[in-house]
Amino acid sequence: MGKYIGKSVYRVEDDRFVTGKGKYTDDIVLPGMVYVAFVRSPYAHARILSIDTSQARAAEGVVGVFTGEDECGQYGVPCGWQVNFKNGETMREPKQPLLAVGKVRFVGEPVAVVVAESMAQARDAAELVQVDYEELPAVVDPKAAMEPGAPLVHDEFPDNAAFDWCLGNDRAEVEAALANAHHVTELRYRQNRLAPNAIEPRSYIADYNAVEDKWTLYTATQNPHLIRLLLCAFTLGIPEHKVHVVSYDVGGGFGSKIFHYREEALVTWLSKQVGRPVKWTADRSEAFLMDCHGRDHVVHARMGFDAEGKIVAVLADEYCNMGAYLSTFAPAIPTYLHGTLFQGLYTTPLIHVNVIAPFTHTTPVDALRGAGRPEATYLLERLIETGAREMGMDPVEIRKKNFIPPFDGVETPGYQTQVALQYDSGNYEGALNKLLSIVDYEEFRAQQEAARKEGRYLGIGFSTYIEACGIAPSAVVGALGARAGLYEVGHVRVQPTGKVSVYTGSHSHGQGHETTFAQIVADMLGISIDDVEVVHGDTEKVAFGMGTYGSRSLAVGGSAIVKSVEKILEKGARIAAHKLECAVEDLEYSEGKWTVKGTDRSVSFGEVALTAYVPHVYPQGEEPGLDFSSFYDPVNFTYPFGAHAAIVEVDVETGKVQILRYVAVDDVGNVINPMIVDGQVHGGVVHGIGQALLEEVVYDSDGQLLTGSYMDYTMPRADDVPFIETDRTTTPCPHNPLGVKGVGEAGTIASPAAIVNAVVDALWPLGVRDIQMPLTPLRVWQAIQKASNGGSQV
Amino acid sequence: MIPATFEYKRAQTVEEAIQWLGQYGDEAKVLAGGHSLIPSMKLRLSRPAVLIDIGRIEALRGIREEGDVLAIGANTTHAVIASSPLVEAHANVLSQSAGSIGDVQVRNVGTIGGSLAHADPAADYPAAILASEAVIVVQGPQGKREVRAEDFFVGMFTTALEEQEIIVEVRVPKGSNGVYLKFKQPASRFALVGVAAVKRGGGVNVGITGASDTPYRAKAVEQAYPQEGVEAAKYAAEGVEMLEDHFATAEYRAHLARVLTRRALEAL
Amino acid sequence: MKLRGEGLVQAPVERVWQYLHDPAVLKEITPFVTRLDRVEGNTYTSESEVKVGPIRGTFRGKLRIEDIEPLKEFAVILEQGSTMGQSSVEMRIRLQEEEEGTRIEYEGDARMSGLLARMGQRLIGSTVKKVAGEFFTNLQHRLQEDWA
Repeated sequence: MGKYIGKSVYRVEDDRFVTGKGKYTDDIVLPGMVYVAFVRSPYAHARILSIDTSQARAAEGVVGVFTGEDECGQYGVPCGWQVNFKNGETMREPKQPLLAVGKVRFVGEPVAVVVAESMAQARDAAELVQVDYEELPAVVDPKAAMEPGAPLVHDEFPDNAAFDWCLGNDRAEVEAALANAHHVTELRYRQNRLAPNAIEPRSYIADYNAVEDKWTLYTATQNPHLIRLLLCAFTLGIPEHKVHVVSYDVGGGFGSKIFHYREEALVTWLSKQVGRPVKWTADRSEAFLMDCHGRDHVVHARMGFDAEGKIVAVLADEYCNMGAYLSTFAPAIPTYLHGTLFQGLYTTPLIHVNVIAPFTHTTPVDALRGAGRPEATYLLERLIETGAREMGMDPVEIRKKNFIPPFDGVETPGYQTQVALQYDSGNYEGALNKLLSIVDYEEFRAQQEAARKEGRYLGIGFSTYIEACGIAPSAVVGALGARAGLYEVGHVRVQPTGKVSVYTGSHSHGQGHETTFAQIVADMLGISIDDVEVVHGDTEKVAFGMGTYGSRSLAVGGSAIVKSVEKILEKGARIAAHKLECAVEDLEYSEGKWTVKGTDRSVSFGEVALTAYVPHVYPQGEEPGLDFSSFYDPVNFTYPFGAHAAIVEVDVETGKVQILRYVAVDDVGNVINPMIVDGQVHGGVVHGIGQALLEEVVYDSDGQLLTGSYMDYTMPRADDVPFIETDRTTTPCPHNPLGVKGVGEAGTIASPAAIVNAVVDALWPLGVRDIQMPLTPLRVWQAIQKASNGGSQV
Repeated sequence: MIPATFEYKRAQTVEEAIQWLGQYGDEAKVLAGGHSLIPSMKLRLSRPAVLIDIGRIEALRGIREEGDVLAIGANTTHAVIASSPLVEAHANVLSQSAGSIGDVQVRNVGTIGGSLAHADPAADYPAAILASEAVIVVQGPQGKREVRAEDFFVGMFTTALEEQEIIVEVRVPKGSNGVYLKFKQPASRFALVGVAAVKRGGGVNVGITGASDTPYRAKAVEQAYPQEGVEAAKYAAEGVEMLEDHFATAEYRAHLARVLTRRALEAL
Repeated sequence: MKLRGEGLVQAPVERVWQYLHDPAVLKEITPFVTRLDRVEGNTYTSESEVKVGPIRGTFRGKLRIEDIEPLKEFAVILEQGSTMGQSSVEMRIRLQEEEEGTRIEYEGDARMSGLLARMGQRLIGSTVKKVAGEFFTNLQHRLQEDWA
């Protein structure tokens, strides 16, 4: 271990963030810049009969008004992942035009755009655009969308299915195992729809230079190169080298800033049309309408057990909402990032996941922190714990009975699941045991019993989770329908004076890469962390990259950087050997210098760097310079895992849930910066508390968004969250040079199940068996009423 | 995000504000702290052509003892009311409700006059104002008049204020200490149900906000209290139509009203 | 949201039917309506100034009255739009002659779309109920005035 890796080095980014000196896209002001306001559909489904822009055009300060009838209506944003039907039929991919053409299909869909000298003028003029609609019936529930007679979202298809999909063992075998099981636990529920709510709204500025016929696009994104590729090759048909994408600081994404949105392409197109830089920044109302939502599955799940409590089979049937159009990664979320996790931490021999993905008249749904994996963990962890309670078994014991035994992927091989993936390394019982020692489980059960006698309802819930992250091996995802490879690029350039610049395709939007990547490089080279800079977010500075999402940056981006540093050390050794007049094998590298073994003759990294750029006395045939780029394509996903527990108290009179304690034990492989890992776990757990108790996007039956502001959409606040206790076990990843697994999503994946399990544990004696997320006071109270009236819950 | 264009006028005196209200009529809105008006202007749900800012009128600020009443100026902020030793000593049901409004930023700027005039059905003050039998002093072109709390709240966002009147003072009887309990709507943190209870003579005054489109005195509870004590809470929703929304059905709201009333009476 | 209600007015069925088809009366008794101009037959253009608390807006659109059974049942469809969103109200109104006068039963649907639906949910339910209630109270008063 070096000076930096494994230490909680303070983040270099934070100085500018906490003093208001961050540079966000909206902060940028370009000379001659004009502003954009959208006219958006008030209906979930309607025919556009006419659009009258004459009054808007005449309004003060207006530079132009455009609709889907203009050239921009011919362009559409693409979907980047293809999942075909089970029967081989091609996935249905309706065009998603930059401005609606002929029909609108969700509330908020942009119908016209106004460009004006100021924001206020653009907004005023947008109100003057007259659109005549013929309202049509809408469908918002994914299951209802598949019922015969449901309103069609896209008329060119016979029904609303975008695709269907399944994975795992033969369905008939799985059903037979369930039929013969000693006990079957069954749950029907909805995975609630969430809004991403990054603190920075989306913002784009496009600046077209007519003289050079080049665009600069400033964008709030998680993946600048991917945007450039999609925009140029798929949306506007512009040569790729003519667009320079720049993304400075980004205020959070949680997935919502991965996607290539219509507004991004439209702003780019507009800039050439009006010949001026064009800017659009969403307001929060627009963010609720347009930033892709997450989750929204209607689930029927079953888990079968034998008499000892061992799981014999898992079967799930799901309707997974795509929204009105396919967003960039949407088809992958309820399929390859979801079904593939149904093995969980358990030795379940038979698994079958069946998914239908319908279109509905709602905002498109795509990846949101966890993307498919929180949904999988919730399903398994709710089933296993409910099953334990139903069979009178302890929820901890039943898990231990079913855990896959420990394996490190080196001495003991990786675990091949029933659902395509092979886990890299794991010690599931180790994490759970650590959790139990912190939680003091026996003590809690005694407290719980005593409290019940006083009429107080305490509960404990567990969630033992695994996730697949560090996406992804290109060949694997290509075979699964991805339209892009998922490697990462790390370019390390040593300057003549020994300072190091790292150019990474990862793009931090809160993760702290400028610190963690510098820690790695500084330790590998034995130099000061102050001598390392990390550059990201600019397609002219960084050759290529796939961006930051899916907890991949350290595992994939970090590994690419490691490869380049290894190349630098390798070449550096040759230069050092030449300087020291010895063989390369005679050298060892440590603390920033090459030393001839057994002597005190050495040469420093700095001296070698200078020599590489001033190669007066230099090895024959060796090129000058010390500069390497590497593309790292992982051989497998990485599989972080862990065990979380939530302890809650429920006020049964009002239904209010209070989380008394939350304990998270996570295994993310080797840890580079413990403080950042803790921060990610905290953030992820808060996000999961949001889903479990507070957050939900609600549409009425007409497709009107009812939760369009923070007056109705409940965000977690400080008093909703207890002091989160974190700890770790360490089972290194065997297949990347750092042995790391990733942690950005772990908290979100584990926590909803832990919290809901805890509330159900508290209320089990009252007859409550399941409550629909979010567990608002109303829902909890209704569940208690139903149970005490002898009815079934939820 | 960006309001429609408006003209801004700053009143130096109450009389000036009233005169402008007469001049501009329906086109004008009065601005005090602005934390209810400005958000709706930013969404363009309100677009007054003229904003009459009364927020700088010093005469409308301050809390004074006047015999057996506390006189609170309409421009006094929630933060000042929540932390006032006078209010704490004599009418703490009001400081409790003031302290539960919004968040720190809102409390530092929002005023009692503005909040009462806005008459949001889920506001916190009305329960305390009703339970303490406060009197609201309003001023119009004809001069001042007093409106009893019971007569002030008329409907959803509707008060007894006439066209050109503004609130100038709130007079709260001393001896209005009690309990204010609030069950928060999880997202907005307004009162899903808010109950204020104050002991009066041998009995009790109970004011309830958030439950119905107008805040009300729970007379059925007050009448039953001398005989039934805390059990009288079961009449908290009697004869009142409960609001229904995403966070609470009418049944649940009625239940919360009963639960909070019971807890408030137990705490008295 | 669903609307439903009923009331008794002390006036004969023919008079009630006539009043409910008269645009001058409709303009007077319907809260917020400021203009109702006949286009042709039973179709009118309408304008309303809606005021609920801080929310103010001008709504413009069309009112249509469709007779289902003369003197017994008719439908009213009011569709209006504003910068805050569109509103659509459809009501079926049934008249029943009784001893003391005419029983009016109404049943229908009120829908909001756009900004108001997203931001004003708490207001919509109460306001719609209030408007429906006031409509019939005003009708009763007007009939009482003319026929008492």
